[in-house]
Amino acid sequence: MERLVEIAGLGKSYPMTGGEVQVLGDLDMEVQHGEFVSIMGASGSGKSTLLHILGGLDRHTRGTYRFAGRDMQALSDARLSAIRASEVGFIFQSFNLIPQLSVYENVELPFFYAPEIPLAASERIMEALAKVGLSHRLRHRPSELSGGEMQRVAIARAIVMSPRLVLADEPTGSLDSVTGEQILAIMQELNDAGATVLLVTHNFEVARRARRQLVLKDGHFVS
Amino acid sequence: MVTSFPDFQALGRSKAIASLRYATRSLWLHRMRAILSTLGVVCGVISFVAMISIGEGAKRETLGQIEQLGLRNVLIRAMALTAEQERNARSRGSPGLKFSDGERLKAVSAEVHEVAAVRELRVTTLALTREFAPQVLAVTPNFIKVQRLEIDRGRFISEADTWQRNLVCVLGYGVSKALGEAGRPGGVLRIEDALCSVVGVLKRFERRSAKNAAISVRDYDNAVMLPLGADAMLGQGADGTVDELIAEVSASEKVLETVPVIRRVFELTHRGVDDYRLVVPQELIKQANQTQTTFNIVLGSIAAISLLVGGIGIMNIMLASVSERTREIGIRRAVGATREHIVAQFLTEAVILTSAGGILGVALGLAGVTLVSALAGWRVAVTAWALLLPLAMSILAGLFFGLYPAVQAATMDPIDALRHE
Repeated sequence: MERLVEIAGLGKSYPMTGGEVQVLGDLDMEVQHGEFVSIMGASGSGKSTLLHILGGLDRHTRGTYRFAGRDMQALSDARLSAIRASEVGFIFQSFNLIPQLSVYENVELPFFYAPEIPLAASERIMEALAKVGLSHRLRHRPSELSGGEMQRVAIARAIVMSPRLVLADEPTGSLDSVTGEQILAIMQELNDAGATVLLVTHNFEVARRARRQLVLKDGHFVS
Repeated sequence: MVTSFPDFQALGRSKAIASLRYATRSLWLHRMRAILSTLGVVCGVISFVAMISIGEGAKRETLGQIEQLGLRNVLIRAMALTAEQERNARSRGSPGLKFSDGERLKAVSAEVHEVAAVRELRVTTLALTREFAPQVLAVTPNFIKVQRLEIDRGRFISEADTWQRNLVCVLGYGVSKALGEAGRPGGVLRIEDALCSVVGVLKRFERRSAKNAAISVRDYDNAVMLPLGADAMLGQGADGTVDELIAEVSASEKVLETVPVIRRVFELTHRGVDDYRLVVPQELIKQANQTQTTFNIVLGSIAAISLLVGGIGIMNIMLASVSERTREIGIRRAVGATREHIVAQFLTEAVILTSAGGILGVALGLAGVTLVSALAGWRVAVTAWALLLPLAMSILAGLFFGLYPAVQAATMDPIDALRHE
């Protein structure tokens, strides 16, 4: 299997009054193509920060991070944006849909920013919405959807560009258990279809759905 | 499969259209706020359109009046003196403005090759039983040439009419029309107690209305012209003075250099008495242009201040929009928007706002100047650049005042933006 994510000695510190605050310290991890990995940790353990770094939204301050063989620290902001648009899909706890855009337009958004556009964009949008069972709600606004439906729209947006890596930050955190289960089932299906999924959560039941579990505590992986 | 889009122009177009669509929708969500924020730009653009159109109209009006005086001409007009001032001038050795002054001018300056003379007569004119009050002028035969008038029917006053003091007259177009049959060549006009044969009629003269006495142009449509000298038969011009001499210079570019010569000749013949006035149309044009420039600067400043205030309003509203949409900015960054995309998005919204204000301002400005022209009787000139310049200014205002909020949005930390409640 090909390595998609390789981090070695990765750390992240923030300069604060009175000295630096270390959020992540000396992390080593590899994720292969097609893996389903969960990172579990308590609130404040640094799991969201790690997810942001892995998705190219944030930069680490120590160590190395290679994504699909590229040194992420060496890439420009514009290049990182291009990677986020076409190679990484984010799913957030609070869905993060744009309220004034319709379901279709929210899913269309990555095409708007991608430097290279996959052929048949509209077919791909429809396909992504079909995967999450929302083909019938194209013109609806997020405010007209339930929490589970909003998260399904967010998943469709995350997968519409067929990204190499899907990053999910507490994807069931704002949902009831039944809806959360539906979301996890969709993620499982995505992984079964070949997508690499990396999920962070504080919930053990959610974390155990992944094939590999990592635990993050105070910025370090623990066995 | 990810591949390059086959038609990059189509891609650019579709992205641009989508960008406009999203921007319009974002503005529509807060439409009342958007409309109110553009009012400043609307006012600024109205000011610009009005300033340019009214200014251009005034300029054309003034230049038209001046051009009717003749750009190759220098007018020497006798000052209206009281009896005491006239006695005083004579006692100091000035004979007043005379036909002979013109002859002397021609002799002294090689550049002055024609001098026409005009005497304004104070007489009563009667045509059969109908009374009317045209301006009666005694003029030299070359008057028609130096004033660029044209004959419609018959002929103008000839040298022979002048020497023989023939009591003939040439009528302005309006006078001829008012008199009917009597106003045509062969007709007879009664002036005081004398009968005057009509020998010609002038073509219609479109006089530019003169509000400034210094550049007033006579209404030749409403004038009757007699040979200078023949007016003696009507008991006028006994002292040989004239009201105006019109010196025509050989070429328009030599007018300004000839003026000092003319001035000197008159200083000498009038012994330094200030009983005449030189009117140089070319100098008037220069003054008019200077006045126009000042007018433009003042009005342009007012319009620019209005646009500045409007632009600040736009900046304010865009900053509020950026603040309200912080989370949206974070989402867009997370799905791949670069800083440039965010700048472009907010700039597009600002430019849409100011362009809409610009279009509305141009429409209202156009309606306003049309109304002002109709109600106040001002001449306005609506040119293409009077409409396009304010529109371009409003677009530039959008770019300028939208840039700071757009950069603020683009430089936000995407993670902080995503966490924003």
